[in-house]
Amino acid sequence: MTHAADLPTPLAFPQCAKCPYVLTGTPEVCALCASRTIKPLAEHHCQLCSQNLSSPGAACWNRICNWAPQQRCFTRVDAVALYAHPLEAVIKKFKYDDGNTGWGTIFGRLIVGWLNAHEDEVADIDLIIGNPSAPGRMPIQHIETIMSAAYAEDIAGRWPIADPAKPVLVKTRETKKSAAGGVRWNEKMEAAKEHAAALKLHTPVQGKRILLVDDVFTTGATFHTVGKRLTQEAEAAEVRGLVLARVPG
Amino acid sequence: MIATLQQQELLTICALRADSKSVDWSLIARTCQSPEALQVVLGGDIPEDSTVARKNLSLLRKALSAIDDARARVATELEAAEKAGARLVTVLDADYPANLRLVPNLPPFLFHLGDLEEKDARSAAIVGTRNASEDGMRRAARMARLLVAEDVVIFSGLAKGIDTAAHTATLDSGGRTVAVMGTGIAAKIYPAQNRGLAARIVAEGGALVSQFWPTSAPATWTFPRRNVVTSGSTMGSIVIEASSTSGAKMQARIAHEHGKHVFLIKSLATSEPWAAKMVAEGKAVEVAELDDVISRLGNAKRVQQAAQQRLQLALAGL
Repeated sequence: MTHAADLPTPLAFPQCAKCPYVLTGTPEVCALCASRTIKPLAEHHCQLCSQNLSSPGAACWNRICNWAPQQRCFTRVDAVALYAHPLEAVIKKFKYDDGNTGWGTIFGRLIVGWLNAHEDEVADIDLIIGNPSAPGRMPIQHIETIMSAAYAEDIAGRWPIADPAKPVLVKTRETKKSAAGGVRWNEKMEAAKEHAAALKLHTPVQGKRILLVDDVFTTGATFHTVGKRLTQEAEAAEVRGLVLARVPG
Repeated sequence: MIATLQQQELLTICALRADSKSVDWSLIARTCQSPEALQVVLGGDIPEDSTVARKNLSLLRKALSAIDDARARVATELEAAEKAGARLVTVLDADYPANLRLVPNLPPFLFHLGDLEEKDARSAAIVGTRNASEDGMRRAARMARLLVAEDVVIFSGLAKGIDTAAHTATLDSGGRTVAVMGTGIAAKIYPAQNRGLAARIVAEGGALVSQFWPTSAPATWTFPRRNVVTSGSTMGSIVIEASSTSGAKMQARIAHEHGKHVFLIKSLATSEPWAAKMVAEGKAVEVAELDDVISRLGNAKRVQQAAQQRLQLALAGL
């Protein structure tokens, strides 16, 4: 097919720095390009937590997925991709190393691109917010940077992403980090509880279906504790999740 | 002087020539959005990995040896623009049109008569054939009037036919219109019959813009490129009347490739096979009523934020 506009071809995530679309790319272009190199979710994955499953319908061994629905404070968490090469290294670099806001812009495009591509699944969402990071977090408040980028990249204003100038949910103080390596359930849950306790809600969310966005999902402890505050305390109708990357089991 | 030193450097890169060829202007626009990047290109490197970048690298290096000729060309062109009372905006500048920053084949610079405004981000192009029917002229005028009432800025191409109807109706209803020209800003208005319309657009608060060298005469290659800027400057293109050989059909395809909205008036979508096909393939929206357009246009502030985010990314690097 000939192209009327004679447009260049995107390079390939994560070589975004030299891609013709680094500055001009849209969520559609960047999400499509990234899908060629990032590792997709497994063909069979848990409908609740996006975890790899050995076969369709196999039981998920993630602990929270086996809780009774009324006990779990989020309904499901989708993921753009698996936490694997090359996405994993870029998230780590952005989050822990250089904090380059440019990657926040690229990730913001991937979030909006995912929303655009899954419009039917998120059509009933009333509010999209990030899982807040602590004020002064170094090298960067990574989730706030991604959500602020996503808000701007949603140029048509299709999605109810919270206006970064009027934050809905903020973190008031630094809390103990969740275990960086390995999955120690109790430590994860303790850290998640402390994290949720440090959050402050600035706008009522009563009756709203909320999509909570985070960078990485491991056990769901954070989604559960933050979801608990939003649904039980603030009376949100539902908390659903979306992450850039699901840590594979 | 209408150009800053940096703007002059950018224009100089555009004016470079080797073997009677220029470096690809869209490539220049993509890769020269910060003072640092400008120096990289002037140093003979292109910070982009693409087929077009590879093709242009040797051309750039060869042409840099004749940079004095390029500087002289720029000086002549800037003088002509200044004499015409035109101003310059480039990809280096925060006030470069926001919508254009979101397309990969953006122009490195624009000369303009009349102000470019932030509200131009919420805009639509109304385009169509030069050989318009009376119905077509009436539909173009009606669409323009309805959009003006919704505070949408109307872009078109200053051609006769549909373009003329769109510009004229916008002005008649007190709206703002921008003409994207296929000629240089200091050249004779083309077509000559629209000299009066061009003057009226500027006098009534609109703007004329041109992506070409100020002295450029009309040529067969300038109009298709102009269509890229007309599409790129707006949130979507509305095609009123266009046969399969019309430039407006090309603009519909370009707008689709830009990821912009393509709006095809119902009478067009039901009569022209190419238009019906675009609608059937989900590449265009058939417009029966105004809300089909309005409900899909975003707000200007959001586009400005997306554009500023891109400029910040250009300055900070990745």
